[in-house]
Amino acid sequence: MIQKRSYKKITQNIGLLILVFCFFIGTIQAQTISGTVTDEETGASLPGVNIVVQGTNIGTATDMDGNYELDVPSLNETLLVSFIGYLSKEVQIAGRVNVNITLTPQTLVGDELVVVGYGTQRRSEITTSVASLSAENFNAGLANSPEQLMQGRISGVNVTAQGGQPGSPTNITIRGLGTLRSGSGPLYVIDGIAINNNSNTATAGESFGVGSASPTNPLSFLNPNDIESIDVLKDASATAIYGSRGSDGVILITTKRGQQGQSQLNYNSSVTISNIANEIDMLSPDEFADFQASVGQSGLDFGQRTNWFDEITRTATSNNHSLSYSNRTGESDFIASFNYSGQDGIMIASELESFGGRLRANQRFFENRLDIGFNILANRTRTDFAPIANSPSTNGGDMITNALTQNPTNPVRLPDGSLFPITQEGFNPLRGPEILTNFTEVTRILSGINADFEITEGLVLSGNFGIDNSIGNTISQVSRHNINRIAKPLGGLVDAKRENSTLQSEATINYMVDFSNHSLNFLAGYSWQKFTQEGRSWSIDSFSTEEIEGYHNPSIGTELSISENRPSGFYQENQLQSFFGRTNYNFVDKYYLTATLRADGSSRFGSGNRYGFFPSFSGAWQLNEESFMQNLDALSNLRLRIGWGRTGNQEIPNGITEQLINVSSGSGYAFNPGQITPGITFVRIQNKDIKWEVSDQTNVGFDFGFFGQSLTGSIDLFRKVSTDILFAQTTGTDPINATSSFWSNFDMEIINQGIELDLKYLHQFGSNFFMEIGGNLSLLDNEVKDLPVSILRTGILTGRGLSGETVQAIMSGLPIGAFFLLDYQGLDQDGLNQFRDVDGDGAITNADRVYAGSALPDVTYGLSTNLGYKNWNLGLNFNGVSGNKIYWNDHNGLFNMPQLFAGNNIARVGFDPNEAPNNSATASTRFLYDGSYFRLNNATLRYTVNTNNLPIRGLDLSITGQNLFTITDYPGFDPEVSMPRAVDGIQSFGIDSSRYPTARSLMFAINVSL
Amino acid sequence: MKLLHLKITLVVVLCSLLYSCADLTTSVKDTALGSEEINNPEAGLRTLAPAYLSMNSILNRHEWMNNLQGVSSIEQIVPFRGGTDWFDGGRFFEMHQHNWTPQHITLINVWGNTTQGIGRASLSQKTISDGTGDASLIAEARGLKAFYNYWLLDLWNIAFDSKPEDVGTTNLSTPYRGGEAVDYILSELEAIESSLPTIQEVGEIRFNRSAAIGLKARLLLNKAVYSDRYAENFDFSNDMQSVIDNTTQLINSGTFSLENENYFFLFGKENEGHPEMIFSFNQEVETGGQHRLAYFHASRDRFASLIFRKTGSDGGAITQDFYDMWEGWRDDPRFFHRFLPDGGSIADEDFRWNRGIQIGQQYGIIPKQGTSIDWQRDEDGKLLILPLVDDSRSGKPMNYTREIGLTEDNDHITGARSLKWDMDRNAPGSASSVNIPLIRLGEIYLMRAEAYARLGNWANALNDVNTVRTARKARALNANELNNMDQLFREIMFEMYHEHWSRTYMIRFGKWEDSWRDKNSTDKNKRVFPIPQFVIDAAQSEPGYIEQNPGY
Repeated sequence: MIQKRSYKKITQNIGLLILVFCFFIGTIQAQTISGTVTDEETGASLPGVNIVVQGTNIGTATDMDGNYELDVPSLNETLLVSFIGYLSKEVQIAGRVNVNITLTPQTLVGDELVVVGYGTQRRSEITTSVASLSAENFNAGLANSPEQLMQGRISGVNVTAQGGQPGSPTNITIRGLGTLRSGSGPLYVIDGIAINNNSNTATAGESFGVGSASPTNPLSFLNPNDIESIDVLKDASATAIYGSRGSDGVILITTKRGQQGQSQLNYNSSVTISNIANEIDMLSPDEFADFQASVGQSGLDFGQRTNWFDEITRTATSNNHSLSYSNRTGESDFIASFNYSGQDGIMIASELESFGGRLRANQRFFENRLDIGFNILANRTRTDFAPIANSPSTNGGDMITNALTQNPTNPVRLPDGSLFPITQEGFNPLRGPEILTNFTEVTRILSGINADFEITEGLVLSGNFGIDNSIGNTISQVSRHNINRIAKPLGGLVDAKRENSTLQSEATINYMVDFSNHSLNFLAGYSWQKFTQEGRSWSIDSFSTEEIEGYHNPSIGTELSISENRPSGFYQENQLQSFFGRTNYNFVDKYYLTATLRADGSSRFGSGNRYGFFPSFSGAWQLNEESFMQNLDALSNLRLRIGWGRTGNQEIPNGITEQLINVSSGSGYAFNPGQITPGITFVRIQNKDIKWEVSDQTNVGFDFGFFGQSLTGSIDLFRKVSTDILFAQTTGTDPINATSSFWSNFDMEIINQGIELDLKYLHQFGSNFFMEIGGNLSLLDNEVKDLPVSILRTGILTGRGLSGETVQAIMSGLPIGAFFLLDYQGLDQDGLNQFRDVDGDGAITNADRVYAGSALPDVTYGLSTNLGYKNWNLGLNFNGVSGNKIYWNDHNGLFNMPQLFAGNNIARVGFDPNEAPNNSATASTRFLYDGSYFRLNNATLRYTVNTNNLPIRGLDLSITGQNLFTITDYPGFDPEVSMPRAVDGIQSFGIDSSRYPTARSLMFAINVSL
Repeated sequence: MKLLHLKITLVVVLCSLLYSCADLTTSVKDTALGSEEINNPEAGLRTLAPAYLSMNSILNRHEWMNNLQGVSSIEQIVPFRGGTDWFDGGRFFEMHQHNWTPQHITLINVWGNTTQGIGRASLSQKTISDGTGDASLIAEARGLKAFYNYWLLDLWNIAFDSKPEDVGTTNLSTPYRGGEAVDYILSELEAIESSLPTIQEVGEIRFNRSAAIGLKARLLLNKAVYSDRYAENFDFSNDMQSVIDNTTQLINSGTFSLENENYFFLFGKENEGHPEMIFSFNQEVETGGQHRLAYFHASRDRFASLIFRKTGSDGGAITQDFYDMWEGWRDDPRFFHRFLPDGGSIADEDFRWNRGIQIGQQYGIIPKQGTSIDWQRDEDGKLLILPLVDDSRSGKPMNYTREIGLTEDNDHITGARSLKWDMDRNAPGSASSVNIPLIRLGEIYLMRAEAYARLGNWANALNDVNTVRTARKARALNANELNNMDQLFREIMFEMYHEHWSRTYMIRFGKWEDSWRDKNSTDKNKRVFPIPQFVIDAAQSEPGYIEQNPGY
């Protein structure tokens, strides 16, 4: 049912050809230059200064006396000279062999610009906790969306994939969870436009009893190659400028612009080969057959030896091509790019294909005092899903569950080549992709225009207008089939459409003034955003022909009824209007103060609470500039930051403050047989008092640098207290209610506190070798306090015999994601479960459940190294977590002895000859695992070709291995897991069930620039 | 100069942006917000409709009322089938063994939907009063409220007087317990009886005047229990004459007559508009009607429809203790009715399930391999009736056994099954339009028989029991076959099993603390269910308003 793309093969071949060709390019004869680097002011010679030939990786560092020697390709090159604490410099060799260089000291360390929301600041002026990641530090390898570029790179930012399906979403949390509701996450701002990160596709496939596929990642429209930098605002004194949307952190993404110099053309191509990274250790077909024979069930051995899981996995090939060109002249700059990505998933029938383009242009007028910029980003992505469900139902429609548990002595096919018909509920796993078609097509356009005008010296007026629009179509179709427990035996089609759009208009005014030792910067602004989301869905059943597809021509459907094909739709809009201001004060470049205030008005909240005020204060003290620190030579930077801020979380359903009435025949009653009077139900009653959740966060941090900034880092301590927690309860004080749920703010607390440490060590050894080692570590503690109810159950399991079973609980004194389970004590002599009778009443009931650990890791960490030798460069990036638990739903629901006795295959971990054939698979700590892991996330070996004698500016070739190894005790596919298993909107974490497995991949890439 | 103009322009632009402040009112466009719908003349009936529909999520699934009244009693058992199916978080184990907690999911759901029914009925009462003021509709809404309150009282020993004007306000409804609750519900029924529509006017699928009389009789029959739940012995004597009066009024009304062709017609499509029905819940496919009561006991490889692949689930079974209760009485047509031969072949139009209690090797239709939907047929094209096999799970022949336990004898095919409920052969998936009887004449006769018996008048009791038995084509009993409460209890169980009442009967007949297989609890506190914990939590803001029941 999947269309094959013919041009994919062609592009793949071109990519490979170029790759092979480029490896044949040899190196070129060189010349030697030498000289000394000195301080311009003092004349002192400078050791350890970095000297690189522009456009190459050829470089060296000065020795103890400030001298250097360097082989350069020609004497026409330009040298890039950089040293911590000094301004970088470009030096033309201009035919000389002796090139002496002087460097100007920087007034302060930390000259790079950091995007902070409504502006940029130098790193040295930052008083809050902001982490920055620029393109050269992104994770290498195949990436579909920006979150993947920063996984493991920034302390306090936890990125978890929902599965290995190409284009699947990720969960990202910054400094822990401050809400009970699922669906919250950081605010994303792309080039100043705060985007709508809600899902833009309906779920696929859930209509046919198969369970639904993961929705697609709404951020995947952004080509990672277009991103210049990602800045993460972590603490509330940084995010308060985003007011009621800042409490989960803010991720600011800046796309590339045309660079100063000549015109540039850049082409990037890669081929990626992927395989499954880790399989579940199942009983082999022989072991299965031997076991069945040993218990007198040799009738379950049908004679063949089939590895069903191999039948549904494959070696997948993916291609990426990205072309961009740019220029920057005196008064204008632009960059245009186009990219194509075609990815096959490692499970059959899953793939992703994406086309995108971008144009960003700036033009300056009036001697550069007016700068007008335009940006447009457009993308179309089609994702084809294999029949793999997030919550596999008991019906066996999920391809992975079905293949894992299928009797391995069944043949795959009959002698005539047709699929072997399996009579049990789990039909032939290869049938799923034959009869089920699920795909989404998303078109998204993000466009904005902005202008900055410098009215007088230091006074800048800015404005921007942006639109973000995405349309997602989801097709779910089942062909005619004869499988018992899949719905619509005569075929059926569901066509669902979603449209999200955001309009934004903002104006800011910025005034900068310096007098003697004081420097002041004022910002004032106004912002308005309008968000709309709508969706419609219809369906038709019973196809009259198999020759064409229903989704191409739905008129082949022959049946429609209101009970089976009730159309649905929704429309929601909300508006946000904000006034904000910020003052930065700097005294003698030693003492810094920042204050912000934002007033946010949101239509989501009741008229009584429409506006909220979000202040923050922070300061920094450059300690190493103080006289008492001057004689600590090793210390090159020491900076203390202290901040406090208040932010909000307004990611709640629209309109919950309003009375809501539903009129529908679905809630009606037939007062006469067969004649339905539609029912009026009150979904909500009015509650004008509902407001956003509030988080107060305090942050204390140090930035430090040692040994001429070769060792740098920062440490931050934070405490975030979230209150006015908003969730829906199903009853009020009075149990007799007109509605089935009530939204209220509860006077409880969710506390997140932690420590974050970032370290980086940079060293150049002689002229040919450099080394960079970076690491980050986050410790996080989460606790719920004063919950207004005894317990909120969440984390629902799926599978046979497990309907409605929940394994997590929100309770006072426990973290979010707490597992709340019967305590498994092993098997008794009859091979039956024994659980701890906690309340001692002689019976094992739900009252015997205990807190068994949390799904949230105590520690997350990352480690990256970058080693350069001449033209070679090796980057390694590790990440890991520890202290968390994973509940393995598959072990509970699928891999136990009764299933083996019933003729299903099981994983080795569930094989226990002492277990009774009818022992109950009761949910308990038996299926809870340590979720710690340590992973080599990616490794890249890059070769930069010396292009001096070539008519191109740059050429490099690289090989990247992704997900190369993982050290873990967890026996499932992958310990990095988070299936969406919320109950009544209360979020859950750390439950794994037959998710789409993760790939291990090898990418060959070439990058050419002209 | 040029620059100055530009500055002015920009300042004007900025100011106009600032002045163009949004008023932040959002229009909700996909849902009606209120006034227009509520002022519609149809609003009365339209608000009453969902008040009825709350019964859906109480009655039509195997794990709701069926769990509270059937699985908790001697009637049904749900093992952890083969160690792989139907544990469902222990909801059936806890119910069968009487060790449920205030967190039990069934209690949470049934409580939620019952109280929702009261809330919706109360809101409907208000809407009708504010609108047309139709007295008969107001009475109907109050009647529904009384009916839901009866359930709350029976299960949790509480009833709520929810004043229509207080719904949606912070004014609390008044809780009643025990005898006060009975009196409150009775007074409501008395107050509305004359205003209620008759069954001739609205049919049995709405709460009519006869339903009110039937409900009164049921309340009075249980009044001794409800007034003093934990008593060693209940004193019924004061209320039995009222039971007789009310039941006699219905029996003698000439409106109702007992089903005398096939008892199982009362539990299939044939029950709509049936003269035995006094009040029943009208299931329709469009409003979420379900066949779960039939599906629960049937097997995964037993097909019910020639058009749709409707099968069962091998979930519940009747206990071996209840199976044994039929010992010597299995010729009663209420035990088993044959529609299908064991083998051979039949015409398509003759296909339907055997009904009643099923044991031993089962027979039915089997799909033909490889085609979309067809069945194995003989050379004349007639449906082959073949011995069924549990292909979906164990691969064993579908041969139901008497023995069944929670953790032993817990195979997929153990236990006799009740196919009292029919599947809707013309509805797809799990949908069904088979109505669920709530008050019917058979029960009314047995109520009167019980009232007579409790007054010592066994002759009249025998007469009523035999009226029912004769209509069902069972042999009439002799006087010595009905002269004690155990015999009467057995008769009631034969008629009323698998209809959401067994727990109530067992408590009233003093059998709730008996032991049966896998049930040994003798805790009297278990006569009343615990109020769900979330309700107790939410009520804490008003100390003393709702207290948890004793023993939880």
